[in-house]
Amino acid sequence: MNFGTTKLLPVFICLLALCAVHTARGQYSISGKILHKASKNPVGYANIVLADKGLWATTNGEGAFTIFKVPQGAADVTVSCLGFVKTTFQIHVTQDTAGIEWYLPEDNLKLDEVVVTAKRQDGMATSYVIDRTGLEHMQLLNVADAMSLLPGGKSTRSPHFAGSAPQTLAIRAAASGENGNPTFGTAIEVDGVRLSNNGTFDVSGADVRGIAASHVASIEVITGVPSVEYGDMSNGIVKIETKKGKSPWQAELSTKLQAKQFSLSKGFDMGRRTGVLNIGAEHTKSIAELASPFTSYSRNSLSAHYSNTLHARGGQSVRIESGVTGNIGGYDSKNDPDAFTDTYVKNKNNTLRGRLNVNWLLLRSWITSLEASGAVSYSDNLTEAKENKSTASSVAAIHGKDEGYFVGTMYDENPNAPIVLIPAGYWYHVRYNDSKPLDLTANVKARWTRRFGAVNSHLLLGADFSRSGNRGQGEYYADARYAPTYREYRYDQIPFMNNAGFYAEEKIDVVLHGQSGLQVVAGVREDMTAAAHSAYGTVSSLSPRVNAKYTFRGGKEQLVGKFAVRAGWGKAMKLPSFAVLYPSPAYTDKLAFAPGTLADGSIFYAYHIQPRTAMYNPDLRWQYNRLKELNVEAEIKGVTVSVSLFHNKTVDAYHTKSVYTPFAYKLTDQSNLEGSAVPSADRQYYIDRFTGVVTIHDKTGQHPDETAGYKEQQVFQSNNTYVNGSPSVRKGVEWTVDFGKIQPIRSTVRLDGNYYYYRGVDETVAPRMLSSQFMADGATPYQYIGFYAGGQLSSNGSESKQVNTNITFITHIPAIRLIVSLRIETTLYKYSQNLSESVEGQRSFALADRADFFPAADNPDGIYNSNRYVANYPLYYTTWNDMETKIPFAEKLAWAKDNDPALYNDLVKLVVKTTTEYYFNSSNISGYYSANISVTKEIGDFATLSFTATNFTNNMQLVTDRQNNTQNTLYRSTYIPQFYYGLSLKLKV
Amino acid sequence: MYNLITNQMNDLKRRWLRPSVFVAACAMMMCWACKEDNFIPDEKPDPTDTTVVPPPISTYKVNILLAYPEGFTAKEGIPVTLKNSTSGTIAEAATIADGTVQFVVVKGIYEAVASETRSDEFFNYIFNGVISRIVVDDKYDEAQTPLALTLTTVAKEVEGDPNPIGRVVIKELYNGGCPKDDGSGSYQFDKYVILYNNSNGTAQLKDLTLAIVNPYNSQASNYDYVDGKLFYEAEGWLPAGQGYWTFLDSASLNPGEQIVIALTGAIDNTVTYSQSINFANPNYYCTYDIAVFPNLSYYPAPSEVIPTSHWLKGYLFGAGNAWTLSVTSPGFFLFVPQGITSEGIAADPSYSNYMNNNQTAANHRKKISTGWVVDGIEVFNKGNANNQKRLTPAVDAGYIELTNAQGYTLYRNVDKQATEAITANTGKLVYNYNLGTEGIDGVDGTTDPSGIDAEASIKNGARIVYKDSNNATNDFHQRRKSSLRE
Repeated sequence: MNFGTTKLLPVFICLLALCAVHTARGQYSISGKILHKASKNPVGYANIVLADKGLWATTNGEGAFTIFKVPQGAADVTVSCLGFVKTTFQIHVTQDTAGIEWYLPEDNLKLDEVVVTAKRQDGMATSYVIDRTGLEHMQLLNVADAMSLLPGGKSTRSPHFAGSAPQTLAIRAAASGENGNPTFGTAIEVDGVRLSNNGTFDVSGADVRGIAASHVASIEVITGVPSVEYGDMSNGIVKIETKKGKSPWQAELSTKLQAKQFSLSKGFDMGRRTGVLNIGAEHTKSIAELASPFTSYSRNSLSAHYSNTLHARGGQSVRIESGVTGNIGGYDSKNDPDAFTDTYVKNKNNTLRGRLNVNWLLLRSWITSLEASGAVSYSDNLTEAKENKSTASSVAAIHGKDEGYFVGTMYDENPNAPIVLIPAGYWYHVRYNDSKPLDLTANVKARWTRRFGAVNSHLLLGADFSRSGNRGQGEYYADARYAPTYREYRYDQIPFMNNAGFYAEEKIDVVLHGQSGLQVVAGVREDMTAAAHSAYGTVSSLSPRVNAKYTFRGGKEQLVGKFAVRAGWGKAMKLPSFAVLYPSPAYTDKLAFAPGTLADGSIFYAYHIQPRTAMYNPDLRWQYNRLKELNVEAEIKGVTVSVSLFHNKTVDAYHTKSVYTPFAYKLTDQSNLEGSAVPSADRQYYIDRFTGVVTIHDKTGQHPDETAGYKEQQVFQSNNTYVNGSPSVRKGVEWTVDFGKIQPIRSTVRLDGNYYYYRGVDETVAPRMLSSQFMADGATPYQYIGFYAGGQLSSNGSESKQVNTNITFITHIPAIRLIVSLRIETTLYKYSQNLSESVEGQRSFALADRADFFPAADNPDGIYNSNRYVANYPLYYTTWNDMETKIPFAEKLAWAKDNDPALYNDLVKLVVKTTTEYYFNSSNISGYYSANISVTKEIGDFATLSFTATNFTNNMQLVTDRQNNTQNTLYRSTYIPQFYYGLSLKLKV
Repeated sequence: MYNLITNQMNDLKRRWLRPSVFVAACAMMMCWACKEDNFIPDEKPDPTDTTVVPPPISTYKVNILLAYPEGFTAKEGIPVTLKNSTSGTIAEAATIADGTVQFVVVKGIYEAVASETRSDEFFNYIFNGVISRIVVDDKYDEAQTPLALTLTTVAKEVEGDPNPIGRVVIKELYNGGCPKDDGSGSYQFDKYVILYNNSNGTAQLKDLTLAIVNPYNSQASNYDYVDGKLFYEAEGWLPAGQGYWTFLDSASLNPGEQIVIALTGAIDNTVTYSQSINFANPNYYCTYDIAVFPNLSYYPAPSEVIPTSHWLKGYLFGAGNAWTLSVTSPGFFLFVPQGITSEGIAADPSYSNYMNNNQTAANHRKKISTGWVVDGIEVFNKGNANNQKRLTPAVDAGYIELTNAQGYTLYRNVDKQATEAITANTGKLVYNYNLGTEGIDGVDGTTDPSGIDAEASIKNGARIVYKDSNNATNDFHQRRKSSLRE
């Protein structure tokens, strides 16, 4: 499966290197201090970055800094420090300069400008940042809630996050109901450490509930075509930065109807040249029901981040950042103690993440900086479920992995028997599913920034290595005596998956006339994945990405102050998870012997075990997205407008498919034993492991052994494998309009929204087995397997379109340190349509009558909006006796109707019909809205009080669904959030 | 306690927070836009007006006419009951000479039921009829022609019944389960039915088949009603759902004899569940066909003491791995096919019918001629407002309500007159029956109005004749204890 592209990489790197011609120019040093704007006190440990020059510095404890080798000319400077407003400005360097004083405003509501929405970043890829002020204003208790601030985003519907299912994120996609595994393809990084989901046994995104929300300093969501330094993702990246640096003691208390949070943090200055240590602790608990506050999700997080900058001769600096974050918590379904109980489900979400990052500013002629980092992420996702069980007769618990017939044995006789009989009575069993994903990553990046003429060149070369595995035991039970049917499949015996990525990226800044400029970023990434002991071997994948941006800056007096247009194109590949790489073996267990139940409830069942080894698909390709984006941004008379058009196509999505194979086994029951001369009390039964024939043995020796009769059963066994699904497409438009401040009422208005389109049709031919059904004779298990284009459901895809528009009114009164925001979230258009399509031809057809099995004569082609029941046929079917011959279904059904009534009656069972006549009508929901209000008030410099109410009008409007012309209330609907509110208090000492 | 907290919080939200938040938001909104026409003048009540006017209660006259089959005339004094489907209240009135009866009721949805028995020289005639959904509301026209309550009849020869199987009745149906010993819920894999020969002739059981109507639960959506009537009533059949069980052997029942058929868990269930049933009895029968219904929770291997000749044969034409006998409210009936076997019906598509015309395995039913039906019992889920009848009046004109999961059973009432008329019963009948559920805490149950304790009397050697009017409302009561547990 090597794509044959690896040879291109060195060539590309050489070309990039050749492009970056070294041209020496004048270079100067600038030094000075960063001062608190109000108090004029020095700001220690502030970061100063000249991004377009690849230079940076950190202030010492006295706020002093020096930046060496700054090229002559203009440079954009960004200064940031915990507790202060991140400030960007431009300087012009013409000579060595000392004694500079740059002032940094403290981040509080006394400022004239405070942002509490998602702010679009001025980078090469579309991204949005929500900073701490915005997060506190919306009282973020769960990171997933922040996604609502993206253009057209909607507030989280549920007032709690105490569900049993994980909370995942999807960028420019719906979190569920769409093809292409968008949550799996969305990468989440906390301080550069990836929350990997590769070592898990599903194809889903990482659970974000374990991230301590109070520690988050900012959340950046990269929705566009990202830099090639980001691998193993297909749908975008959510980058979460936690609090680092020096800060006073901060305590935060938040309460919502179904969630509470308490946190404490402090950034310590460790003293001269020893750096800063920031520590934080948080406790959060959310409950599922107000009336019974026992089912809950809890988070207990502790974090420590250390940073220091060491200076060497020649302006070289080394910045060291390291951090450790731990979380203990998870879901606990513990029920109301007033009810019967002692049963529960607990899902641990314990995590330990550590990282070390060293950034060496070398300032050599051939390299500007070198950055190396390593991270380890270890999670304990143990599921523990205690269930109450009882039976009046023996229950067979099957654990054998070998093929053959086996009779049940009492645990005390042989605890390791293939089949253990659990005797009659009451018991509890405690089931564990032990998953402990472990991810190790290391990467190194070299940056080389040079300038020749009006061109800035930034070359980025890097390599990363990741290693994903799982140290969990898999499924097991507390007491093997009561373990039900299951097979041990230890995750910790599965080899690790290794991925090595190499990338090169060149960014060229061309300063054109005046303030205009052109920026082009082109890069390529090569991923080589090795999955040992799987059929996949080593797979490589090439991901090229390009972004180009033209910026025009006009004067303050001009109508258009700034205009920028940006286009991006790229490919982003998502590595598979263990569920894809190492599918667990499947077993088919069939009852083979059922003698009569004895007086004490004992039954010595025997089963036929048919193991199926894990099914690898040698043709499987890694899933990827083709990303395209066009963005236009303009400042027109103080109004900032940004419009992004995107088109993302998911190709080769991981998709599970069933496989059926026929097999036969023998069944012996009491009716085959009744003729035995051996009294039942004296009998011992033996079943031949290979033939399944039961022998009756007389314990007393009075009678010779007898052979029991049997019936042969013909059935299918099932297994699953992963294949590549059909492509799905997402496209849309996102816009934000920030109107300037209306000074008389100290308010700003922001309009954001999106148009989102999704279309996914799966054409994977999938089999369908009719279990628990019989042939027309009422005795023979159903013998046919139907193969359907896109699966057995009536539809094999869907199309949806939405127009969402949000308007936010923000009133900010610095004099009284108050900010109030009213956000109205509207959905103006919500359309969806089930689809049934196939390249093989017409997949579905409308019926004249629900009872029909053939297309309606008057409307053979139209299924959409026909208000009729719709049926679809399998493309072909096979039989138990001959799985190779593919019998065309439609032709055979038509023939059987007139010639073979019995066959016809069996075949019609494979016809799938819609359950309603409106299934293929388009769904168009009438417009609706909900409104949130948030208030933040600072009380002096020491306390901040916030109040927020979601859907505060408790909108109970009726909306109409044109699919079936029904009206539904918005109250507790899936369309808008429930009404809930919260209050938080932040104290600084 | 938690409900109290919730109520208080909800109250808090309603009284203070929501209005406060709303007012705050409105105030903000008004800063931006404020129009005079948004203001609504206060409308205060007149404080001097202290008159208390009770809300009016409207009543409606509902007239019903009993419509007899051709050849029969109306009679005076025939009891007709009108039950409010929501509240469960029952009104009873007798017909006047022209066969009409009048009720005065409040708004609601009602069900009218009538039942009558007549005899002539040769036959006993059982008349039954029901109007299942009478909507009385503002639109109800009191002056309309009386609602016709059509009676259908089953004639049974006074002597020499030509169909011996017709003498078998369902004596008891136990399908609701019982509490588990550890308090963790109910055990419901101990269902059974007892068939009883209520006649003086021997009944042959070969080919007798046990079936259930789909919809399986009385409260489920029922698409079979067309203009308020079960469409298959006029066509003379019942829809057997999913599959059925048939006697293959030539068992017979002498007069006054019974057989127990375990419908699930044909083992000694009391090994684990002390309030359950012990089916480990060589005289018992069971429904067990592991190749057809392989769900071991429902069908563990039957007790070894039950001969395999006592296993009924299963036929599946729908879908599922266990027979869907409802634990709340089955429409259960017995039939013997004529001119075809049960196996033949299962395989013959001409007998097929699909619920709601939806041709899926789950909706597959078989049309069973009403004329083949031996007996049936319509069970309603106690207290459920959505209960609807599925058996036609010719099979069961009424219903019996079940409170399930308590170990209660549905037991046939004693025909007091017929039982006391048997001379040999003198001194053997036990009275003061107290095993009905009428009056049990929290259960609005039923009891046997005859007052005869059938099981105690049988133990005394009495021969019981059970009531058989093809109307479960009259013929059954909910018994607090399974007869197999005495």
